[in-house]
Amino acid sequence: MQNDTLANNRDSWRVGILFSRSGVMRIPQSEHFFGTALAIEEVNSAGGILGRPVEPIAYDPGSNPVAYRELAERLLIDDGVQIIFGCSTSAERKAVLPSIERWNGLLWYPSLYEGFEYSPNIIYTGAVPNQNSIQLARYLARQHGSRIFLIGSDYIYPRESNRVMKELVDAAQGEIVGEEYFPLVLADRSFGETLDRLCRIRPDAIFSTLVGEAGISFYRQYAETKLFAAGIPIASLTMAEGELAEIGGERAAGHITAAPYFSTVETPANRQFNQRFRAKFGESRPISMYAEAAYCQVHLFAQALAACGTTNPQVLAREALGAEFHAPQGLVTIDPDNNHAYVTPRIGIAAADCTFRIVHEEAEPVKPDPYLVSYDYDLDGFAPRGPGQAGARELPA
Amino acid sequence: MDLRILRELRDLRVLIAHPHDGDGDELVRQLRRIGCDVSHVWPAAAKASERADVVFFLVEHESATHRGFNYDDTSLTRIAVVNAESPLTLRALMDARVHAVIMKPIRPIGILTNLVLARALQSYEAKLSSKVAKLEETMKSQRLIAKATRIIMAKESISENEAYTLLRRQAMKKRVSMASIADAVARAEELLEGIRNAP
Repeated sequence: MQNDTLANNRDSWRVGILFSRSGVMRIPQSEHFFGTALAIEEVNSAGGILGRPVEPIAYDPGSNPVAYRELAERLLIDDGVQIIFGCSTSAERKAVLPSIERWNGLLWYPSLYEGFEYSPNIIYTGAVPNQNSIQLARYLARQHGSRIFLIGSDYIYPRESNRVMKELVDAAQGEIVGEEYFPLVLADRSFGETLDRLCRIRPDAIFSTLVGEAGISFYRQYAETKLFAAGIPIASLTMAEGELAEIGGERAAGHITAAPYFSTVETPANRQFNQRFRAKFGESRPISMYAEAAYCQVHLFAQALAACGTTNPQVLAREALGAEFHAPQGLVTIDPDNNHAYVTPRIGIAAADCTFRIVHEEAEPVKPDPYLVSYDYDLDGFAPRGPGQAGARELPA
Repeated sequence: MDLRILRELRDLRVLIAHPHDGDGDELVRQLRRIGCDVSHVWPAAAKASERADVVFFLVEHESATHRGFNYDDTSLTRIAVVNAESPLTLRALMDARVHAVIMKPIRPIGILTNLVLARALQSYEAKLSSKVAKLEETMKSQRLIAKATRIIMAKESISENEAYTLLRRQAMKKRVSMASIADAVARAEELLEGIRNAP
């Protein structure tokens, strides 16, 4: 309560921002940062919230989970902030979670992750596996086949995502033909041995959960192989427009990403979002799911704050649960059952101009199911047990 | 990697025997997020656990709050909810032979872990109990068969193998277990002994 008074006695709403502008995660997190900044500017230029502007306090944790915890505590204790927009990886989020709960903050987390978490002090606006992995596995099985090679960074998100992918491939009577892990921070970025093995095995597709620079190096080196020439794709849940630009459009073309948002989504809200983003950050700045989710969650926060008038985490969270926002990706709703977001699953194929051609999108936003463990499905349905799932529509190729 | 227990979570019928307060409601919500079929009753009723696979129940210093659950039921996973570590609470936990404990105030994190570990422990315990029961039965039969074999050997002056074969044939002919034939032989012998030794 003391913090609330401290923050509210000022003539602005102070919020914390914890996205890395440096280190291995600087590409997606800079996009989180830009999306957050754009939304705050929109809120403020529309007169702020209840007449007061949002005042961001931003720190750069440099992609180091320990720094996330320290800086989260600095925001909560020294700066008297209760609302934090931040973190991109599960390692970062799990590092700050105890501090957020202990000092009673509210974290808005904009990235996809592997599920199996719920904290009353966190709102999760990225996709969980029932909103990206299931759709990706089905797409791969239909379009490319079910002999899948798994490659990932060695931490919780790749390990859990691969567990889900294995179950999905098993259920489709497919086969996992290889599984390799690499350190998150990779000193020697040569994938020579793995690429040789891949060429011998010749899978139908590769599922990559390599993040950061390791992922970019892998895609670049893969472009030199005969598998790339043969059109065998790398599929991912994390490779967005910013990573494509870093890899190089020609070398990334044809690879597949499953995500709720691509810059090429055709909605009126997205056309406006593209225009504003470009006007503010320049024509060449990539626009991705990382920017969009971060943008969306600031607006959800602003709506909730306007309705309840306090940054007290419990009051604000209660207001945010069930809240809707017409985001660039379509309608986003915070699920009151689990604090995660209804998002619209899509599949995109990378094009040479570093954007995605969307080849599949669900007809409606899909309810998040962060604790899904049973994948009872067939190739036509992939109906997970639990909350009802919306139908899907295929887009013309 | 055996994820059978995880896969079965959404088929579980979970009973929560806890007052309808903040902690009780938080527990219900987290178990529903996990996807279990949850029912919430208070005061605790023993009958309610008959249809449950798992029961979360409040254990306080007096065991009266959870009296009535069948602690010998090897098919029921028991998870205690406690707010103290006092000697009487600890004794109540041991009496209830619980498979896991969660502390109040309820935090969502940790409930899934305790639920999964408790299921694993309970299923292992149930497997061991049924194995022990089977082994005890086998030992009893073996003792009876050995005794009957000795009786037939003495009576018929035949070898152990021949006596055993006779017993087995008889069991097959009458379509009963060797143990029950052996039991009949032993009882008959005891009866005859009694008659012979009668004054």
